[in-house]
Amino acid sequence: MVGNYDVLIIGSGASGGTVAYTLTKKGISCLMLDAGPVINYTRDRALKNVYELPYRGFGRPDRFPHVTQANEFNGNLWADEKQNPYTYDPKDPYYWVRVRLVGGKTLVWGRASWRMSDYEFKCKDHDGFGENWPVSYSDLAPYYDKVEPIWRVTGRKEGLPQLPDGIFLEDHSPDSESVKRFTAAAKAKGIPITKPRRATGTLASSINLLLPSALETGYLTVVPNAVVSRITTDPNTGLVNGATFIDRRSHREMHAKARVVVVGAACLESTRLLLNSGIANSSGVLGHYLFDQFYVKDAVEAIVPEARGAKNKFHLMGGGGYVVPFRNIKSREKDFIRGYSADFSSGGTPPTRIVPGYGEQLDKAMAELANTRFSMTVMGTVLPRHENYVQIDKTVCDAWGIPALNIHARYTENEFNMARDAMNTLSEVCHSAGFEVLAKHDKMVPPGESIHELGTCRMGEDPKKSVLNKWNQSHDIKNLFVVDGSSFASGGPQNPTLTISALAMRASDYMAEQMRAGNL
Amino acid sequence: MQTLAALPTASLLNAQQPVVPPKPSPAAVEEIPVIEATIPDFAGKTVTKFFSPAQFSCFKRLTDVLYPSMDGVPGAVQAGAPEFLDFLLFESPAPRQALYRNGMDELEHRAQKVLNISFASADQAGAEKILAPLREPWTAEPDSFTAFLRVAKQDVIQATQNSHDWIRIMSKRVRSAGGVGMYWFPID
Repeated sequence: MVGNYDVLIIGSGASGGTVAYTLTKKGISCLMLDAGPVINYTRDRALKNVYELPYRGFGRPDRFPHVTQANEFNGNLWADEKQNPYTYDPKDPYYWVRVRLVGGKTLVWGRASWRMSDYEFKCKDHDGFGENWPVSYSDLAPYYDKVEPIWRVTGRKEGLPQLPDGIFLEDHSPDSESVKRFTAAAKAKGIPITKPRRATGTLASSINLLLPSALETGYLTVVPNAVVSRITTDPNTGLVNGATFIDRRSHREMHAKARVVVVGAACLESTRLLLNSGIANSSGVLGHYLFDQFYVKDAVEAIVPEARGAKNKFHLMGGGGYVVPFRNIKSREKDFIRGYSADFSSGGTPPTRIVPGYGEQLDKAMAELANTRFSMTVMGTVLPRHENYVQIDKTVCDAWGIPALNIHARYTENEFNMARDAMNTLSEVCHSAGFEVLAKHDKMVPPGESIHELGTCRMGEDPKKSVLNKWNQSHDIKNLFVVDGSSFASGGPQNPTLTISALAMRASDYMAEQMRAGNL
Repeated sequence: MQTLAALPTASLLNAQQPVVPPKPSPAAVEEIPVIEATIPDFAGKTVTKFFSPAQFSCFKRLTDVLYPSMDGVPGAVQAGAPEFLDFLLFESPAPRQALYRNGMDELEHRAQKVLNISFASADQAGAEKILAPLREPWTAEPDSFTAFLRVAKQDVIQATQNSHDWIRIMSKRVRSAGGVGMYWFPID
C-alpha cells in the first residue's frame, strides 16, 4: 500500500504546487503532504444572511486576534490560533496569518503578480545594504515567462526596469477620468503608474491551476491532514530520507520516505520545521533575516469633488492601478534606501470611520459622498536584518505536540521614514489631481499582517551566510530543498507569490536534472 | 398575555389530542424537508451582562444618538444594537472591555460636568455637546475619549446594519443592502 516516492513535497500552495506541477510532468513521482484538509467548494460553503450569523458579522471575539483578514463569513478558512500558537514579545507583536488547507494561501490571496528586478536581486550592488541574491533577474526571467501564463496574469507592459514586463493577458481597458487625472499628476512628479497585474479567473489557486495537472500525470499522491513534525535523516549519509507526520484528526504518527525532500510549507512554517528537525543550519542563520512588506492601509483617503452628490458623469469614477516603485531608482533619498509602491482604487464610498459626524448628519454626508472615493494602500520594502528572527519556543506546543515558533520582528527608521514619505508624496499627488484629501496617515500594520513574510532560510553564494544555494538547495544537505518565501535574501515592495512560483519551478528543473544524473 | 387561570387544564388538553397521529405530507415522505427556522432575536431579548444598569442606560442613549431611526428605517435601539453589543463586549478580550468601560465612564463624567445630568437623560442638543469630538476631521492619533467614540460609532453602525430588522427594510430600498455573504462551514 505504501508507495515509493522520489520526492516528498511538504505543503501544497504556490511553491509546493509549482514543484508538483513541474516534477510530475517529467515523470517524477511525488508525495505531497499538507497539514490541512481538502476544501470542497460545493459542500463547504453556502450563501447566508449576515444576521443569521451568531455574532452579526463581528465574529467570535478573540477568535483571531492576529488575523485581521478573517471575518465571520470566512473565519473557518484561517488557521486556528489556539491550535497553532506562537509567541512574541508583547512590545513587538507579530501577526502571523496562516491557512491550513490544501492549496494554502492561494485560496485567499489578493492575486497581485509582480516580477522582481535586479534592484532587488542585486540590491547590495545598488545601495550597499545586505546581500545580493545568488540569482539575477536574467536567471529567473525564463521562469517568470512560464509561470505567468499558468497563473493567467493580466497587466499592461510599461518597459520599466524596476518592474519588468511579462507574458500577460494584456489589459487594454480604458482608465476612468479620475484615474487618468491621478496618473497625469503622478507622472508630472516622475512617478510611474500602471494597471494592476493580477492572476485572473473565478479561482486562481494551486488547487485549480497546479494540482489538477499534476494529478493527471498519475505521478502525484496528495495526502491531506498530515501535520509534518520532523524531517528525518539517514545517520549514515547525513541525507534526509523522509518525514514524520501526525494525522491531524486521529493524531496517529507516521513516517513517509523519499529520495528528495522539498519544503514549501509557507515561509515560517518551513523554517519552524527545519529548526524542529535540527538540520540545515551549519551557517547559524536559519531563522534570521525575517522581513516582509510593510503595509499602510488606506494611507491616503481622498474624494473626487466633481463626483459629490451623485453628480459623477459616466467614466469619472472606477478602476484602479498601481504606483510603481520610484524612490531610489535614479536618485538617492536622504532618509531611506529602497522603495515603496501603492495600490489605488477609484469609486465606492469613503468608510464611515473617516467621515466626521454621526446620525442624520453622517447619513447625509454618506449620501453626498457616494461613489467619490479615491484611496490607496502603501506597500513598502522592509530590510532583512539579522536581529529580526524566529526560534523554537520549547515551552509552547501546538495541538499535535510540535514546539511552536517564537518570533522577533520590528520595523526600523528606514521603514518609518519610507512610510512617511509615501503618505506625504501620494497625498500631494491627490491634491495635484484636484482631489480632496479626507484623511492621511503613515501608521503601518504590525509586522506579518501583510501576509508576505519572507526570509529566515535565505539563499546565498556563501554557505557561512546563507542556508540555501542558488537552486533553493540546502548547502548542508544536497537532497533537501526549500522553495517558498523563506528562501528570499531580500525583497521589494512587490507581492512575492509570482517570484515564489518562478523560484520553485527553477528549483524543480534543477532537481529533476540532478536526479536524472544520479546526483540526488 | 394569558393568565394561568385562563389556561385549559391538562385533562382538557389531553382530550384535544388526536387519537391517530397526523400523516406526514407526501412531499416529506419522498424527500427530506429542510425545516424552516429563524434567529434567536425572534424568540426573546438579549439578557444584558456587561454594563451595569445605569451604564447600560447611558450606552443605550449613546447608540440612539449615534444611529437614530431615520425615515422609517430602524435605528440602533430598534435593531437591538445596544443589547447585542453588551453581549459582544461581555465576550470580548479585556482591552476591548476596558476601552468601553473607561469610555462610558468618561462620557458620563463629561455629561455630569457639562450638562449636570446623566448622559442617559441628555436631549439631542446636550448629547451633541458631549459627542463634539466625533464631528471633528479624522486624525490618525486621537485622544482616548475620541478613540472610544470612534470605535463605538463603528460598532453601533455595524450592529445596526447587520441586524435582521435593518436589512429587512433596507433590502427593499437599496439593492446593495442585502447583507448576504458566502459563509464557509467548518472544514473537516
